[in-house]
Amino acid sequence: MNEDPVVLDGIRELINIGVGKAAGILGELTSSHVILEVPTLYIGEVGNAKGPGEVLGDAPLSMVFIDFSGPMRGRMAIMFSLESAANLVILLTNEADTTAEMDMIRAETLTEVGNILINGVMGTISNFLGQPLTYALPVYVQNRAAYLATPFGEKDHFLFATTRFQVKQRSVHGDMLIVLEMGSLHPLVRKIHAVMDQE
Amino acid sequence: MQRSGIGAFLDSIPDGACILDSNRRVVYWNAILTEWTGISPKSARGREISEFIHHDQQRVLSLILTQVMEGGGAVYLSPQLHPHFIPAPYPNGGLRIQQTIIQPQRGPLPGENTLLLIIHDVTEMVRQVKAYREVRDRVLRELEERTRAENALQVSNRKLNLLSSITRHDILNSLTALLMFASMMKEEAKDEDSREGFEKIESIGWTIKRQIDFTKNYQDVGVKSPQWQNVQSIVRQAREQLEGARFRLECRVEGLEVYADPLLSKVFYNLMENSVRHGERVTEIRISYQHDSGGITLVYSDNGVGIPDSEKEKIFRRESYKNTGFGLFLSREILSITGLEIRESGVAGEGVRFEIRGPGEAFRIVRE
Repeated sequence: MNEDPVVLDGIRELINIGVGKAAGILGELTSSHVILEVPTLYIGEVGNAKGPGEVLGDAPLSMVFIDFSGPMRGRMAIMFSLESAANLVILLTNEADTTAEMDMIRAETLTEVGNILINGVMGTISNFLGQPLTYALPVYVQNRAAYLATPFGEKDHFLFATTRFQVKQRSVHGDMLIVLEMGSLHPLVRKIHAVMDQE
Repeated sequence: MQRSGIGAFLDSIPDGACILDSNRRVVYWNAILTEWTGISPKSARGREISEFIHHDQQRVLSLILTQVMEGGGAVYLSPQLHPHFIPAPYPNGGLRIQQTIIQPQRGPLPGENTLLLIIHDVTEMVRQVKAYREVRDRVLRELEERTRAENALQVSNRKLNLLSSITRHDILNSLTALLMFASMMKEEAKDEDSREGFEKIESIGWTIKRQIDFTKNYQDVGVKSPQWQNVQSIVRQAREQLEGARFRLECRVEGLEVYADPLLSKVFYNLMENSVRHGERVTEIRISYQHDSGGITLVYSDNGVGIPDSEKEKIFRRESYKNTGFGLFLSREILSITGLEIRESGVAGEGVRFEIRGPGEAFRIVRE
């Protein structure tokens, strides 16, 4: 499935629309020009050798995730190294304190940023499917990437996308992960094929 | 909306809460919001939320609510980017810092979408994080100053050591010449008085040489950072340096490590060298450790003549006791760097027993 270029292109397009919307909101919010890019996308199974833990390694990360349910069930997360997370908050808020430490105030800010981004992407996917999703509240955690996949089975799918924030001519790297319960990817794949067939 | 059911529930929570209809008009305004803003539920009802929110937040609110309506989930507004979403002053001045969640809801009427706003007062949390940041910044500044001072001290120490080394070298050159002349003059002395005089000069010269040698050893103490060291390896190293010395070494310290200055091996070398040189009949040296309520005690003992009670403390002073003073003085100094203490507790005539004790964290047992 991860080798189907039509599906990959379709999902990449949806994610790009979502992050584009999020970038607009973040730009307004922080009065800065924010560019969000998603250069790479990978789809795999949680139990594969190249699962989320292997892709992102064992280092602790600053993560914001939201669980969702409805026609698709799963979890979407945005992840940064601890230093990148602090740098992104500093860039977005013009904080005078430049210590690369994620305290509670910064964690709250990153939660808002993650929430905007996740809402942008999942909102776009949900609109594309034409069916609303139900969302839990955003959660901020510092943990290894594998933590995000803990409630999921080996056959569940994950979509992994590298994400680059550009704020004030500075670049901050993050990663985006969507884990979907088994079968949840199918409605999206069907819809993408249906749209492509129409064209 | 009646103040019953959901209304009564929202009035009972310790957060500000309001419900907006799909036109963003207030349909419910809870008791806490009334308390914070002075605006009554009756006055708020039916008015657009934009009338109550901070003027800086108007455009952002519009964008965010559009995202919610376009299929997104709850909106999370952080205290850093939206500190006063609905301005709520404290009675004694200052505005509450807020964290706001805007949750889309279906209903209460069929087909109707509403928004639930929950506003949490996080002023105290933000104050504490800022206080923590101040403390952290102060500690970091102090650490930076201390590091600078340490670096400067290290440079000074290196210079002093260099000066000391050059001076010692020059003194030893002159001393060697003096000892050579004293020895020659002693051999050629015409009478006993002159001979005794040159012998005295020679003896004082050797004392000076020992004192100079001591400064060479002492200048290295505490220069390098302490480290965890395997006692068995350290003891073996010390034993290997005493080539030709005949004694049986029994070392029962498997896995024991001690946190000490890197010169620790000198301590064991000194102890063994003293046993060989002054123990008179030493055939066996034992090194072991024992647990007690205070932690671990490392024990060094031999079967030599031991130390008389009157000398047990004196041997650690710089004034030599049978030429051991410098070594044991240095040993005590080396151990004291990491809080270790050494004392002699043997019975005279039965051999020496040195006990090395320290705080609990100075020793650890490492099992393979």
